Amino acid sequence: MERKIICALCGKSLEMTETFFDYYGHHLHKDLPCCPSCGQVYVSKELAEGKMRNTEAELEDK
Amino acid sequence: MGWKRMFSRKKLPPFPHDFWLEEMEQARGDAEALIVPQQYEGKLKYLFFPGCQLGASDPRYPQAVYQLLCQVEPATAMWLSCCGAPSYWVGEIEQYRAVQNALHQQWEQLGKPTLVLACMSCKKIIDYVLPDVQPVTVYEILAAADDLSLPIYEGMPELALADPCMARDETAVRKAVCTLLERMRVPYHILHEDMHTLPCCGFGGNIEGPNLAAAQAAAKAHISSEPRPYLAYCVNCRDVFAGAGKESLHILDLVTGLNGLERPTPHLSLRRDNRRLAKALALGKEKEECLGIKLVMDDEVAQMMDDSLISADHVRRLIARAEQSGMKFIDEAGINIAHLPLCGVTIWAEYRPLGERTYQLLSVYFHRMERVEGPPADGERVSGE
Repeated sequence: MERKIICALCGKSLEMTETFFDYYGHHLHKDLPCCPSCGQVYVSKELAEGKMRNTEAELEDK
Repeated sequence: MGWKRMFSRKKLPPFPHDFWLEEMEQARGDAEALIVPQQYEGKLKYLFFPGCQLGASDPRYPQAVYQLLCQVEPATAMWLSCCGAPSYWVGEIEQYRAVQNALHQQWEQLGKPTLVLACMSCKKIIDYVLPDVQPVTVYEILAAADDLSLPIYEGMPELALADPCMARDETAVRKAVCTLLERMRVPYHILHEDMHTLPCCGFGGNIEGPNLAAAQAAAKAHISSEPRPYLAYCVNCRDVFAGAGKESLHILDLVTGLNGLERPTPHLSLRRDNRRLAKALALGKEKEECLGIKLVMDDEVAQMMDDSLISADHVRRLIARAEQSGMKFIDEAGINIAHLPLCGVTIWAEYRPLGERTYQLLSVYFHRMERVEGPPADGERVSGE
């Protein structure tokens, strides 16, 4: 079952929003859960330790 | 290789070496303490300098050893701090010289007492950079104190004496350790007779952060062919060996009677708390919590933090910011989720409030990518899940 997360500051449910990242000059973007009011972005453990970690390693090895 | 170009352009994050520099700064910051007996001010004979890792390993060590030294020579002070080795190992030469200069200045201000060390890395560095200090080790002082009463360990299994790599050619120190063992009737076998080619346990250079596999391989190679329990006189070696599954003692465990062979390696992420407790024990005061936040966690979460080089103090900063600003998420089970950008990384924690400024830490993780506003001109999409 998908985890239901709300923004504690605004009390709103998160919505998938295009989000941008920089890794030492490399630009990336991905749709991530985001508060529609304050813009806080939620990065899950699975994403941080999976796709993001792999991408960081790939960029370092290029 | 991309990482070489990134390093040369100073585009690689200081993390994970930054973790060790923070350890050094904490040892010289809120965990620092100078204990000088009032009646011996200006006429000290010894200044005991346990180094940044002794109290981080077991907070009771510094005070227990200090009490023994005071039996040998009452005109002894104790200074809880750091010699600067982490900055030396990471190549931050200016920072390291500043630490060494501060050390020299304090030593002069105290009347140039004999500096008594417990760590061979401290000795190697101080011998090299501050040759006029001429430090000795606590092992030499205790071994030479014939009147000092030491515990007797009859019937103990034979131990393998594992000299630290930083004891290269330090024959007088090994001799002192052997003298202590003989006085305590501890059977031992010297693992590496040649003191010029002593192997490293894997701690040296703080390579654990950038290359955990290399550090683990060094530890495994060290312990793999020796069935006897290890005896170390470097607390980093002792903790590394214990972490690799080897029954290990520090000579100070025997001298003070504090620990047995079964003591596990202390968590890396909790060592800053241990230093603060070592200071509190030395000053006879209550330990102060960093930011007034008490953290509760199980062993699995502490290990998660160790593996990610996230300290309990990092998490306290994260929680303090989240609770003050309200910038956090909450899931349907009431678990709080918040993040904190640090030097080159963003750390995340999941936690639950337990009471007044007390939190149960449930999970930690990090990423190095930095969130930025707006689309990049030359963006590249991260592959989908």
